Amino acid sequence: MLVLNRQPEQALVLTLDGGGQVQVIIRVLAVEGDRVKLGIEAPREVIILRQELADAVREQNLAAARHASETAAVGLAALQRLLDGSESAKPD
Amino acid sequence: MAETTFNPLPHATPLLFADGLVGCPDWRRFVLRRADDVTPVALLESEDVVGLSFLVTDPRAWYPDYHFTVTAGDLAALGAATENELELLVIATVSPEPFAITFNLLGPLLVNRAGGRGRQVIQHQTEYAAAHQVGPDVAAGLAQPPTGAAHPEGA
Repeated sequence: MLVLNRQPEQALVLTLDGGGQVQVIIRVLAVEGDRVKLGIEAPREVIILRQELADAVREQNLAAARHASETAAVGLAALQRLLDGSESAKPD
Repeated sequence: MAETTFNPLPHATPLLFADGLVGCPDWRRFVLRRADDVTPVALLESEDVVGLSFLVTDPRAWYPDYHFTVTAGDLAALGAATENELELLVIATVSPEPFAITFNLLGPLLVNRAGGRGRQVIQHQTEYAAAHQVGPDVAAGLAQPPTGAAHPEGA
């Protein structure tokens, strides 16, 4: 991992050079206690995500897959019962 | 638990998730199976992993205020001209003991059924949860917004 020190108002320029360059500028706007405020300039096609959200979706994909083979059909029936107006989502 | 029987799901649509699912890039080829064109619940069966079958549902059938963002990149990847061509699904997680169902409202699936493409997109500007408990709110009225979704600023 590359480690760099930056002060407020200093920035990094990332250039993706894969035939047609894409440039992303990440600027430190402020440091307030244990929070760092970043400003990011990037073309619209650059997807910027807070890592914990991507991690949460990945973890949930794996959780959904874990019991999938034995529970998908039961869950389908349960959701259909809910949609039909039954009182409980629990299986019979 | 008694053997559960359910209606066969004759409507099958092959879907390619070119980027895989989030964190699972090898899970790319699926078949979406549903009972008919109107039921908002379906199974998304993997063609890559034997026995892998996700329960999926249109979140707006449960939460009419559910809102999501589609980018130009999403449309291009899905081969769609407008978001009106897309269907919206979320993966449900079913826990057997104790029985519980959660919806992944944070990472919905966009599907272009006509084009046979799908994509999982992370909704990073919402308060939606990856494991939203499907609870009494849904069972009671099917119309309450998810807990924590306090900003219904429109789709």
